[in-house]
Amino acid sequence: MTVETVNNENQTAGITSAMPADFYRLLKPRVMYLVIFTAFIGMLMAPGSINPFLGFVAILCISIGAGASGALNMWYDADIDAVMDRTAKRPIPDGKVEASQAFSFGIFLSIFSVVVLGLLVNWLSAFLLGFTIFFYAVIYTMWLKRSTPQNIVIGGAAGAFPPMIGWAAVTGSVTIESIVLFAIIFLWTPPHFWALALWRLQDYDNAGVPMMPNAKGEKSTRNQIFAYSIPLAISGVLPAIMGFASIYYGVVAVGLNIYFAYLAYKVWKDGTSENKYAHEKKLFGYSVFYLFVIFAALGIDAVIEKVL
Amino acid sequence: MREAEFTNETVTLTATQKKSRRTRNVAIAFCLIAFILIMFFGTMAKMASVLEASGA
Repeated sequence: MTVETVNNENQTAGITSAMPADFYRLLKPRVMYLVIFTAFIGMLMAPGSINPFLGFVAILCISIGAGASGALNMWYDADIDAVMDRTAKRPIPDGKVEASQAFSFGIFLSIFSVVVLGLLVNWLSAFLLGFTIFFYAVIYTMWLKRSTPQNIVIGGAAGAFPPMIGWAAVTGSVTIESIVLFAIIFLWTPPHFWALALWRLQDYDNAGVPMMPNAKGEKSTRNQIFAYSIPLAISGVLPAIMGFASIYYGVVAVGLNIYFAYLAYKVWKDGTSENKYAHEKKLFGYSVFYLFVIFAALGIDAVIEKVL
Repeated sequence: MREAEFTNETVTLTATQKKSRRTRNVAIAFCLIAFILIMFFGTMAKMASVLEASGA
């Protein structure tokens, strides 16, 4: 059943039954929460201060911008979302929202978030937000996702920008420290998504999306998951080495990265489809925990340093 | 579910469509109010920061 058919059953004469909650789901709320969290940590870590209300506006605009790019992604990917189990219940394939409505919604929120961030905070952070939306919606969604197995490697940059935007909102600049925060998320993205793709292989195959496991094979994917865990570990401890996080953060980061590398090693050496992808599922679950804890540690470290 | 029907010049909405339209209108109203408040307090905060920086 096509998206158009589903929509026609639920929409009549251009009159939609979509509820605000359906539009909210277009924003990919779970991704938005991660963006809010990492952008907030970027703001906390940045030297200097920002008016608390303007800080709130910055976080709000960054989260709306992230949501807007999610809506544009759902608009463009409605055809492949409909054939994948994981995404079949999204508002467009589910027939709750028309694709054209999702497009208008995404464009409106993109412009809104960038303009308000520029007017009330600063134009560098607004430019970075606009670039992030463009990168996710156009470079990743429209170009890379369907054309190369390196899609999430390059596209991962979009998810890595929020702490840099948060940093720029406070300082009005992009510095090496904010690039390190960017690098942590950027290098975390491939092992995170490839662990998922290994056991969701059939799903991506059905949709014709060239993820690493179905394009280059499981063995190559496992090699690369382990390979990425090494530069990820280095970038994870860099804040302590470079002196913009404490030694206590460094200890936490070393522990988190050793275990990440160990799980990646298990995926590389022992991962097979015969044990129902147990190692891959464990790595995927841990990678979510890893990113949360490493950024929480950076945030706590920054707060302690500012208070003391 | 009974669907909306065209009469001569108007469209008769179903109960579900009326409910969803009302809910969307309320949500849009809240968003507009929030937008006005954000722009007002944001402008005040920005002005305060500029005045503070200039030492006025």
